[in-house]
Amino acid sequence: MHNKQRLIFGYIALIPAIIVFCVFIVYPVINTFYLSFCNYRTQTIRQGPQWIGFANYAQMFSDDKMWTALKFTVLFTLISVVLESVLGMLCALIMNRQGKTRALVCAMILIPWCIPTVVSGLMWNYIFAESYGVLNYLLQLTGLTSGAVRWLTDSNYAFLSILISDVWKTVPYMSLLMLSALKTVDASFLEAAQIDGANKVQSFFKISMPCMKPIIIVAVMFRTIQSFRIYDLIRVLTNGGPQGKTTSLTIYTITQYTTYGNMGYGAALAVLTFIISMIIAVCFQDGVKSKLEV
Amino acid sequence: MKRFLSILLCLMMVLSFASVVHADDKTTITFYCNPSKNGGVEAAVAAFEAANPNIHVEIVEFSSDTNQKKTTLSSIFQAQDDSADVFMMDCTWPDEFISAGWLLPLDGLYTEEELAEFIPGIMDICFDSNGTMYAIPEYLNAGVLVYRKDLLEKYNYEPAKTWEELIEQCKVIQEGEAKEGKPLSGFTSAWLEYEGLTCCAFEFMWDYGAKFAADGKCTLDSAEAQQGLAIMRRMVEEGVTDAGIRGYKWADSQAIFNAGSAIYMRDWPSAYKNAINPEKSSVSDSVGVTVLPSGTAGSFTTNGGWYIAVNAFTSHAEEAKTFAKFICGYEGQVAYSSKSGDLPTRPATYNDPAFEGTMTAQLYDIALTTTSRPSSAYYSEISAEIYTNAALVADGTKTPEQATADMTANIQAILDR
Repeated sequence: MHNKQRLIFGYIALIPAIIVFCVFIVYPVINTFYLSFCNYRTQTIRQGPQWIGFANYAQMFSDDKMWTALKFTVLFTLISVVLESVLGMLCALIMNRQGKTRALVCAMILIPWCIPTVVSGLMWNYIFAESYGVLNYLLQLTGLTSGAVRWLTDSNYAFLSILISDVWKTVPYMSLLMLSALKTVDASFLEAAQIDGANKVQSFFKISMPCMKPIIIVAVMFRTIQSFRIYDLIRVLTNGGPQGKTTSLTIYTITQYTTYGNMGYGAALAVLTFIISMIIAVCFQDGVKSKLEV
Repeated sequence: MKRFLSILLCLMMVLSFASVVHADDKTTITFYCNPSKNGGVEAAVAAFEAANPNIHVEIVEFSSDTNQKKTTLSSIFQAQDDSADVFMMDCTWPDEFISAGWLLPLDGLYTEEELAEFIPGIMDICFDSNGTMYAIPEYLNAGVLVYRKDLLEKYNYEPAKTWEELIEQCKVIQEGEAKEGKPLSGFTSAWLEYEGLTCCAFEFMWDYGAKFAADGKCTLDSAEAQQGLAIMRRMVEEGVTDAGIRGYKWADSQAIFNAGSAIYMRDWPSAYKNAINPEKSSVSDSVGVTVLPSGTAGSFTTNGGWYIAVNAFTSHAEEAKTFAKFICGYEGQVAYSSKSGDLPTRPATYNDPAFEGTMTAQLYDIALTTTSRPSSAYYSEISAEIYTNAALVADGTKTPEQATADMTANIQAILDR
């Protein structure tokens, strides 16, 4: 009896959370799916959404701007996640060492992650600014470049600028996750390997890495999905320019949805982002499972 | 005991929500407005509250990016939320907002005689096709050319009358100053890919005789428009523009000018107000202002005016209308514009003692001749075509011919919807 009461209380206690979940997650998601099949624009909002089937999705395939955004987003995600994972692991290895430097590195490394993205974006804006930016000033002072580099208004450099600021900001996050992974490696394994004559590099790749794999995969999965939805940093740094070359899928979605008022098409783009994120998650999930079963 | 505590907690939660309702009898309305320039908005609101002690106005400032402002408002209106009772509206938004049903009709707020007190050329935007009024012009904005008096005097120049002249002057002054070890840019403005660039690009194209559309057909694919865009390219190519101009919004461009690093700046009157303010500018003693240079067809300036509208979903319609009428009234406009430097929309105010000897009085003629950007419910998309293509020309990535052909094709597709 007592158990049953506990169970009922448990369900009752869940109700607020379920309500919040339904109102803020389930309803918007279903509504977005519905709108993605509709012609729904602010300009004709009074007529309400009109069902047009897959027309928005068909439009997506012939939309050059969507392809540019998708290409940018995929490329950016790939490069940034690889860089952040590798650098994150290096930082984690430093933090994992016992010694005087450890506390200092731990404290320093966390600073970028503690700064809100928009603020760090604005900061990088000042660094990258063409005629009064710190970076160009230093480059010209040292004679590395003769003229000002257009960090934010040349499409190749703009990509690089966003990459640099994103890596700077996110390496701490990755290194913390990697550090927690390193802590799970049983010291006796490493000791055994050392006795058997393995050097540090060997024991890292043969012992530590395989032990850490499940955690690393989860960390990389989170980061990949996050990176795929990059918005705030780009908003502040380039706002998707020049010529839409740094427009991520989310930036493009929001431009269509709110700036142009094309809510049906915007919803379809949001669904695309959602589906791709799901695919990424499922792929990694399989990876996690197979590794755990070994 | 536990049960009692949990009931108490629940009660506290409910009560804390209830306490949000104000105890006093003042009505609070919220006013979404542009970032305040020299306290203009505060001055107008203070004057209103003094005249209407039972209404309190809460000021909420937009971001400085026009598209961002619109995004903020659209999210509020799509939720049919009443949080923004009264708001400032860019002159390019009314079509879209009216067709979305987001604006409260202002019928009966003004008599015919009262309407005639505004500058006539800017009133058409306020009405829908049935003649229902939805917006009131609060201030005008005309593009102006701000320049460094000291530098022009040093090289014996009058402020440039044409763009060609501006380019020539800049080159000579830049070269001369560089020899003295004081390199500076010739011209600065907001050429980032956003609305600011659309305004500038339109002015260049209009200056050389281009027209946006005739009978529903976009007519920008013309030699005139190409000539206008070509001037922008020339200014970049010949090193007249500031190196960072393609990344500037108005505030960035002003920072360059106010630091004394540019000879000319195309901006709005409020920028001149900042440039002569010793607290904000290091060249405050030597700044002049004049009309924008001409092309072959004359000197055109974009109407960057802002209008006041009332949220259709407001729960304080009467108070909101009273406020809207006040802030666009004589007293409200004088209070606002004498601080902000923006141009009032009532000709009568220009003779007010508050403006005596100011630039506002000087700019009266320009104010009367501003040209509106095309009016369309799909304006944002049209503007994106203009600024993207103009930026590509300035960059040298596209020729003016390619750019006008591309923008015309894309704009036509939008107009045909």
